[in-house]
Amino acid sequence: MGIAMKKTLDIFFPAAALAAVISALAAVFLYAPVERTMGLVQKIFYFHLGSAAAAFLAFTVVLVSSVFYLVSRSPRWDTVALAAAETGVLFCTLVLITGPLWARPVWGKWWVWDPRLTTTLILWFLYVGYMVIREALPGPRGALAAGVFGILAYVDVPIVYFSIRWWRGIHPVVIRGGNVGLDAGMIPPLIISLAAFVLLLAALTRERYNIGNLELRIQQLEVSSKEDTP
Amino acid sequence: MRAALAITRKDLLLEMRGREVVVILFVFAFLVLTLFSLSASPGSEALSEMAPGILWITFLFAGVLGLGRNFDRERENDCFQGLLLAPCDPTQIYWGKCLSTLIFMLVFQALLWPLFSILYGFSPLRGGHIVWTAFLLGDIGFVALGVLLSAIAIHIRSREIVLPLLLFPLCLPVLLGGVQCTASAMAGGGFREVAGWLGRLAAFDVIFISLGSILFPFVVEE
Repeated sequence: MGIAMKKTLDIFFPAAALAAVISALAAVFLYAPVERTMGLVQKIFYFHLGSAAAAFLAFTVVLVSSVFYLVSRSPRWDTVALAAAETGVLFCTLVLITGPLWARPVWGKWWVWDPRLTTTLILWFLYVGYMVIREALPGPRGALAAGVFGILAYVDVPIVYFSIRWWRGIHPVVIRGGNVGLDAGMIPPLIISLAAFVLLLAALTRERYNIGNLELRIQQLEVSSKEDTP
Repeated sequence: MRAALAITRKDLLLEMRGREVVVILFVFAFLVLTLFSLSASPGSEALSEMAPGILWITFLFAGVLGLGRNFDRERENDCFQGLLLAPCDPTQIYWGKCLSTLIFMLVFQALLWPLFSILYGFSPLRGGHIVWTAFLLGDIGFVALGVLLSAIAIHIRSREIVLPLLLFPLCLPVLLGGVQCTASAMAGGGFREVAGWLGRLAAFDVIFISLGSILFPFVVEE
């Protein structure tokens, strides 16, 4: 990729994300109808779902780049995995914060041990663990370990989800999440905010990826300067 | 397969001579069970309802300590490097370590089970072979993940903290399955009631062992 092209993209991604976030805010607060029973608090939903989609996408990127890293050993893929894991944890944290904020007035409880909620929490723990590996093991050894864990964590998530569902299947399910019918007026704001979160994810991950590449470059320079000095 | 069995044999021999893992695990788990029973208010029914969950959480705590000890031995004098230099497929090392850890877990559980039944007030024969099938299947999944992650954690300075942090969320399905089977067997349920969960536990085992066998060589690569 040429330097001019890279410069353009460096401006394009943050600008597009900013524009999308502003339009999402406008669509959610000015255009979308107020929900009849839940009222204003329902508007959290647009950001909750957006964060969830972004987090899921980010963790999928971690999986794919981990596989590519283990196969190709190109440090670029490792940097992509690291960047996506960090932004993924960020959005997953947002999901876990916006969820209880909505649940408290609507369900009357901050938290319930429903399969979806529990799985999201475990998901968060898994990728925090991923970041712990990155922190504790620098260099290629950490990259390999993180690549392995990135695959393991992603495969484990559906298993966790189903095992909690089977587990809960024994007891009555208190709340069935999802299946909330959406008013037609809510769909465009939802699509805009989903797009905004995906763009925001792309911009942040790209930014983090660039930082990761700079860090690699610094390490290489340090190594070569040590070799040069007699 | 012969290399794997040789590694298992080496670990068992070390254990027979030193008795460092199983005995300490047993005493530790005994203490945890005691603390749990003291944490419930006297005469409350909550404890017997929680008993299978307490038992499995005790297995997890003790198991992660046992894994740590089993791999600390390999760290001493760089034994692990020596193992990796052995002219065999790294997968063999994985299987060997899995098998030895599995045997430690089962021996430790055999010691703990009678004590558990006394402390929580039921006959040690209750549940019979269903409980032991659940222990075996649960242990296999736990060990398959635990050995893989221990090989990662071996290079981390604060590995005692990092290993449970990585391992517990991953092995949640095993914990749920184990608790479910044990609870049902202790309540007098037959094989038919737990067949679903035993099948799921076996499926988790197959998934985790396959993942471990594929991914372990990457972890130990130099």
